[in-house]
Amino acid sequence: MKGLLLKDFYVTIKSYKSILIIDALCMVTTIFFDGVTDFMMVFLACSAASIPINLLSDDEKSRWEKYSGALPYTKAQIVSSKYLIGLFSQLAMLVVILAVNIIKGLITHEMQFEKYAVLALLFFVGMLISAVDLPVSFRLGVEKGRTYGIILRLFIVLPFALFSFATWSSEFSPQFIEKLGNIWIIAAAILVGAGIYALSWALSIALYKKREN
Amino acid sequence: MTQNAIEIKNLSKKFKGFELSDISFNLPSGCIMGLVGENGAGKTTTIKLILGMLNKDSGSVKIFGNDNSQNLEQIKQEIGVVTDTIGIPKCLALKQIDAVMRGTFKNWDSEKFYSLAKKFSLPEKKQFGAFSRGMKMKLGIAIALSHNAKLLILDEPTSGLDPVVRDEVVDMLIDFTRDENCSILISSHIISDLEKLCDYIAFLHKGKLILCEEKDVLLARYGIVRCTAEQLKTIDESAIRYKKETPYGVEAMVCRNKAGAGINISPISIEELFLFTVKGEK
Repeated sequence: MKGLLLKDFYVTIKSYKSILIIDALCMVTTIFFDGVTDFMMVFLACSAASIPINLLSDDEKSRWEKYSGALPYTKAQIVSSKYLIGLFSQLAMLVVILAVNIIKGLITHEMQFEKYAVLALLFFVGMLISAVDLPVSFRLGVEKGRTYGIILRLFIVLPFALFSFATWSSEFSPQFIEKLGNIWIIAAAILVGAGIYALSWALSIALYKKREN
Repeated sequence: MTQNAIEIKNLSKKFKGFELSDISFNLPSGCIMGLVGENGAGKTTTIKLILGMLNKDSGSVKIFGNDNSQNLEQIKQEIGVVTDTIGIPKCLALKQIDAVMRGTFKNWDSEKFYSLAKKFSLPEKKQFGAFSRGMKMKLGIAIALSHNAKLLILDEPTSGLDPVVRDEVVDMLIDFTRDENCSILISSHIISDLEKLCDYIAFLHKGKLILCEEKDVLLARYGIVRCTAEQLKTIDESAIRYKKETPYGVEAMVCRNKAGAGINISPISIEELFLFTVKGEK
């Protein structure tokens, strides 16, 4: 499995170098400019959520998907590498956003603790996007998977996404944001997201075992 | 008793419009077997079934005596595979490929990999996407030979290579089987390469295994008779396996031991044997 993860790491760094640099630069600029932090948080969350699917698409284009079938890996390991990469990128996204918010808070002397609750929601939505897209792509291939994934997102992810965006604005519901700051709500969002992600992981393994390369 | 590197029994797989049916053969350790067949004969399907890339409908595949439906990833540690397209990500250079393969194979030998890369004149800094087709195949072969594999499974490894490199590759494969524990299963359209390399030849035709035999036995058993239609009638019918009419008379593939004395039988090549088997009339 180490080889699979290493391959994905190299491809992420080399193929998405420019996107990663832009993400990093934009996050740094949010430290100094007000009003763009929230947008950048969503942008970064979407970038992180798209990494496993983009890697899967690259695997199909380069035919690694077929070649890896001849290497000493089980289908479960091939699937798991993408889920682990998805998890790592989500966690990296959280660390970056958290760091930027803390630095910004230290500079402006305003710690916005409700942002951490929104972070939990972002993590939850990011996990949900991958959890929806990956099983379909493992079963049907990325091109078909994207189409079905978009349809599925409309039914599954969009309500959560709208919910999280709606709670973004303090004018919408200050009490709700306050409640979101509750550690138990944050923990619940992360746990539910992780649970759905784990179910999706198991489903992808089962579906990929049936797929023939 | 010599262990077989591969044992296939009654292997079948059905697709829409194609069926690989009831394939059985053994590849003894230390031997090279060539899989010969026209496009769509089932060579790649057979290879994919051996490697577990396709799920078989029935039959069994054993590699080094172990069923390939159990612990295949452990078995694959000792198999080097080269397919007609090498699926390495385009952005990787030799250094990254070496690191990925070190994380893949327990017995990965970086030193051997770099020495093969040097021997094949593979550029160290260039990304895989910028490699020519020949370079890509050479890289695939270098990977397959760099983890102390005991079995090589090669699907059209010399396609797209110029004659000089092809010859180098063939020599390298012959070197590989100098160790009596190392075996090769190779499919190729370039039958002259197989003739040079193989100890055993298996002919696949429309999803069926029509012949699987030691190359030398095949060449000793069969021959070609070139004569007129009238002269052909004098040969025992049971000796004639296949025949075809040419503008100059008749060519027939005959069993030497049944043809009788006094008949001028020319040696047959594996390519001719294959063409008779596929295109000749019974």
